[in-house]
Amino acid sequence: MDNNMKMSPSMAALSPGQIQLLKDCLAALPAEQRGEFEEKLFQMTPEQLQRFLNRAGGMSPEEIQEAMERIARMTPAQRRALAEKRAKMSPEDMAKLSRQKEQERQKKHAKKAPGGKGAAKPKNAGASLKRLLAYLGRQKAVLLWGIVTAVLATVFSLLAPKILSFALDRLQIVVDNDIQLQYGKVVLLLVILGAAYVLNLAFSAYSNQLFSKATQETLYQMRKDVDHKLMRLPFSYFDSIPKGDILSRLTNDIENVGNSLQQSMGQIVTSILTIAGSMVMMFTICWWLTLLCLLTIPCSILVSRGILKRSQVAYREQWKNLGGLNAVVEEMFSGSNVVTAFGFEDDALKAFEGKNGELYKASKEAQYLSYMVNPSSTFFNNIAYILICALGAANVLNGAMSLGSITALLQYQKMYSNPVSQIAAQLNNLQSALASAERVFALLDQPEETQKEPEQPLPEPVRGDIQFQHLRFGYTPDRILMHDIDVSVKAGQMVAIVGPTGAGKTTLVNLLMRFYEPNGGGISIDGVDISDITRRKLRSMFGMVLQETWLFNGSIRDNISYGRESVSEEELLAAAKSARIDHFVNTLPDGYDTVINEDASNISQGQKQLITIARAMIANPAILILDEATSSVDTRTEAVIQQAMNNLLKGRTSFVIAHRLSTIRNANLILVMKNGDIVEQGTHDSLMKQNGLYAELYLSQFEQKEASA
Amino acid sequence: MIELYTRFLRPYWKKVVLVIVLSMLASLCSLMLPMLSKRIIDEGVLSGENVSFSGTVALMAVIAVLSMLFPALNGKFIAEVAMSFSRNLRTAFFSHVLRLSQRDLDQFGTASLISRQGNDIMQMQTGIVQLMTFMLTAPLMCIGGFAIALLTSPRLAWIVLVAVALCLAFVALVVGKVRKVFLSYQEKLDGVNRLARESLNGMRVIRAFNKEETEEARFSGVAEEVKSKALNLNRYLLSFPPMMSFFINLANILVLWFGAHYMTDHLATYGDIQAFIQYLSLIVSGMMMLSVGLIVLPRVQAAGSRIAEVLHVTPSVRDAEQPRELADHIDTLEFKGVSFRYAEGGADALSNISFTVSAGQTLAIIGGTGAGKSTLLNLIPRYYDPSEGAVLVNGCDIRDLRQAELRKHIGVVPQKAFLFGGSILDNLRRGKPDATEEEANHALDVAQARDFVEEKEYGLYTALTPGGTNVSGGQRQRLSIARAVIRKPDIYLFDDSFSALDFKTDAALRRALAGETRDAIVIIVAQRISTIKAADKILVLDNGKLVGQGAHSELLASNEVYREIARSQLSREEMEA
Repeated sequence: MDNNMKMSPSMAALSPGQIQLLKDCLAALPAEQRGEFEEKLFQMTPEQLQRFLNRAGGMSPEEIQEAMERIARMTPAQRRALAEKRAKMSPEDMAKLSRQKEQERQKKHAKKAPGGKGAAKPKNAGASLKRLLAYLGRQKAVLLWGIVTAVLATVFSLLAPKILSFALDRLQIVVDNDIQLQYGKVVLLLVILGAAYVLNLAFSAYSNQLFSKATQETLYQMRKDVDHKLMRLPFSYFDSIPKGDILSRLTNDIENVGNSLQQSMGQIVTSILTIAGSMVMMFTICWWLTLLCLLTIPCSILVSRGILKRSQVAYREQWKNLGGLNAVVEEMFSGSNVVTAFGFEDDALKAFEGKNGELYKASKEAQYLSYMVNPSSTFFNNIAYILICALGAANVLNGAMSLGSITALLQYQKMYSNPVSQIAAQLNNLQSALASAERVFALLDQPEETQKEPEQPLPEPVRGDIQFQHLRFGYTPDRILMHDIDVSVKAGQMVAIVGPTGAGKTTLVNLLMRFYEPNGGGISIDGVDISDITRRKLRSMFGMVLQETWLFNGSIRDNISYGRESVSEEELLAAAKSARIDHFVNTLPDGYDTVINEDASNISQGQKQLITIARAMIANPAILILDEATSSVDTRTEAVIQQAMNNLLKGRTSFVIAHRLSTIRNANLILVMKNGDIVEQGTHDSLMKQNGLYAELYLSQFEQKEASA
Repeated sequence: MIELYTRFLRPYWKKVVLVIVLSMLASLCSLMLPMLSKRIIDEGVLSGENVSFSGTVALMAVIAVLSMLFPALNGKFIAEVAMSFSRNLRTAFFSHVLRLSQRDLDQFGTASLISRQGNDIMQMQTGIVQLMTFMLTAPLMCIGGFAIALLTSPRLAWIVLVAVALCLAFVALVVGKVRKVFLSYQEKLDGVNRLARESLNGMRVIRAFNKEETEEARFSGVAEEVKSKALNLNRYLLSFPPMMSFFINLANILVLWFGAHYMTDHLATYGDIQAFIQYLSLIVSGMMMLSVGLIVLPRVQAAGSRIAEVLHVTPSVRDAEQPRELADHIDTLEFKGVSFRYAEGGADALSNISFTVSAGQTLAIIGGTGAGKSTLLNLIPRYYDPSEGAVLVNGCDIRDLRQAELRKHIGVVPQKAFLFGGSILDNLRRGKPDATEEEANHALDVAQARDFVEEKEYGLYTALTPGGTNVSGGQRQRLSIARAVIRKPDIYLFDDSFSALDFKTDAALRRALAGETRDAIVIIVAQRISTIKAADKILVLDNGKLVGQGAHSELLASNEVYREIARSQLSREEMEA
């Protein structure tokens, strides 16, 4: 949730609870609309804010949105001014201006969005590098061997040209002087050369595998560490960072670190060694010719940098156009039923082709430029080649150098030119890996939920007396939502919690299960403070059915039996039948073995909710929490499950949050919450008599029907 | 993959040939340099005469320049061919998807289609670029290298062949393996990512059920698999460069051994040997480029088959060979023993549904989640065709009509209101392309949307984002109703379209709509009984079966399912009223 709502002067008069409600309203909206409504709230007068707050109770996100619009409506004078302004403009101008405004708004939002592509630069490269190395350090032995073998491989690859040129020189002497060739010597030289080649192969292949091993072990460790961390982070952390961001650290960032390490680690070692080694070798042969060759390097780097810069611009253009094209695709595919219903396939195709043409132009340019980097560096390498041939030959004629030296120089020149042209790319790689590593480390550095050992044993079996004592809580300590919750629940009671959106109903449940820790006061179960019980023990007493119907990628059977270790077939079927899901499951080709796929497109939201109800039934907990447990089920099915639910609730303490108030009429205790505090409590009849907020909420559900009747 | 490449590259075959020729020339240029260096050594240095080799050096410089110019030209063609390929493939894919029926689309899912259209075609584009830049170089270097070797010293040329053969044999051996290993690695990697997303989404449930350790074990199991697959993949991929170098180095030894003999017999020169060593090193760098392609290839192949999979689907809803003409006005709509299954052999989503409704009547459909209400509605504009039975308009099977013709008479308001990028007016004109502003305003009036549109700074010309995400859900719903109203259709289909509206707007809208739909067939799917109480006929669906039809009061008196639904929503007084 965005905890930094823009505060306007008009908001100064509001209570902290009201501010929290505004924030909850914002949080209820889809992310892309939040900014706009934050702006609207900011511009409201104190009266408008009050009016909005009075209405915001029990509203769905969409209703909140509409209410905001209604309040922000204009005065007759403003309306007249608008009409005049509009009369002066042509339709084309209006459409254009409106489009521009919308684009600006989107741009502003895009900037705010985290994790954008492009500028992936680590903030503190040194520290991240150190930690990354520390991670790699766990593979010390493997890495050390990797480096040793890489050094050996490079040494042998550097030796080979030297041996080769020596052999060739001796051969030329034999030819020049017409001496009989001594085959034994040739064989000996070739065996030495062959040995160098074989050793090079062996060591370089081995070091590659070692680096690969070190990288993969590191990635494995990192993935595990992050996952372990996720299971222990407090929920307040998940509130503060978008889910997609966390996910991308665990997936994209770690992969990025891996790819870069894999490519760069081995290569950087061998590149540096090869460049240094071949230059040393070249210097020993002819220093001034070597210096001359080295001059081509800066030229090559300058030119390719120039091309790269231009190609980066072109690539950005390409990605932008691709984004535009994807937007059209997404729009048309998502609305395909409307496209066909209204028969504008041709229109859609035309819009697509327009964008596609733009993308074509941009990517052609980008492709061409990136292609040109290679030929340009080849050109400079060829220049160095020619220099060695021509000046080397002159040297030989002067007697300053042997023929074999030319051959050796040419080979060394080839050896260094490849890594040199890759250095820029490798450094880029490393930089982006460090940026990714930094994001992963930031996650790993978050403080975990405290794990306190139990000091007091719970009396067995759990009865389920629950006491909230002067409970005080805010999602951030400076913004207290609940001021003083004081409720006592007897074992076996059904407690209903009602109230408008953002009143703190789910928060109460969150505190009960220790998803969050209170800022003051406490909760006790059977007289034992829950902070004296381990979370594990505490949570094992609860069963919960939530509005968010989370199921994992596995069979329906496994999902239903998630709550307990071993579940018999009979228990499974009984639970499924009481939750009214058995019939549906039997219509599936694989029955209970049907695997719920990732987007769970094979079952509906309502059916998912029924499965979670069956899951809670199987778990057979002492205390039950139903948080909007039937919100996606139609009213008739809800009525049917209600019996099963009633069976489930019998004899257990239960907390039920419901938006359809008719389902909780028979609760033993109804808590009416508003702005984080309990404003009324009692039974249905006593609350109706009080004629307060509960009566108002209850009646408003009937008002609908009266108006439409 | 190959099928797609041949099909979409065919129109550009001339340019493809040019690319091959230019790549050949570029390869020859780089091979020419060692040959000329031989000339410097043999004629300039070893001949003993004072021959000036400045001419040769100048020639080398010319070649160096050419070795940049050819690729410069080649790059233009490569870019053009590759990008034309992907542009045409994109258009073909997009227009094919637009022709598919809802059933065909369900098979893939929208998200998957979007990613095939976007990522997979991008992969194919990368593939063709790699093919033309890197992978093409390898065979050309091999062929060119052998030719130049023959020219330089026919006696030694066979060594080049041996080296190439060794390399190719290795490539052939590894390529098949790499593909398989890569795919299984990718699969495991997707698995890790999926699992991560899953546990992040279910964190509250996982902790509530004390399943942290189970989930961690599950995750580390999958991560372990990724590790071992990655190691396995690397075993192949990373062995590539050192092996290639080794084969070429072996060839070097052969060159040296046989070269030594020929040189002492004056059958070869020092320059020959040196040139051969360099030819071989050029060939190996060509081969190395092949390994770049090898990494990309499996991915491209997978992308290619995902694209082809979609392109090979023939639309399951098609126009009849000889379509019948539809009268100007639709007077009756009839379902005659209609059954429908989403998948062959699956359970009936609808079974044996029959009813008739005629112009001027309102038909409402009610039932629980998954009862088949929306499915029934979807058969009318032919999003799907029935598995058995038929849907008739004016007594004529709608499968005998042209789809476009039929849909012209239908105004659809889908459950999830969807608007398109463009102005509000543009969106309304999706319903009636030549609608005037007056007509648009009238439609907005009916849909109770006039007020909020008027209050926007640019009124009808207000720009909407794709999907219409910059207006609220209720507003989107009303605009989508206006889009259907402006069409003045003979059949209105409302799929739970009033759910996002507050009760006052809902009532006002239905009042305004009644005046608009006097001659039309109106079909409403609804959850709320209050919305449909006034309908002429109500169909009660339960698990795909029609369990009752009639007016509200009749059903309340005689139908158990209907009564249960009513009981769950209405107060006792209303039930009795």
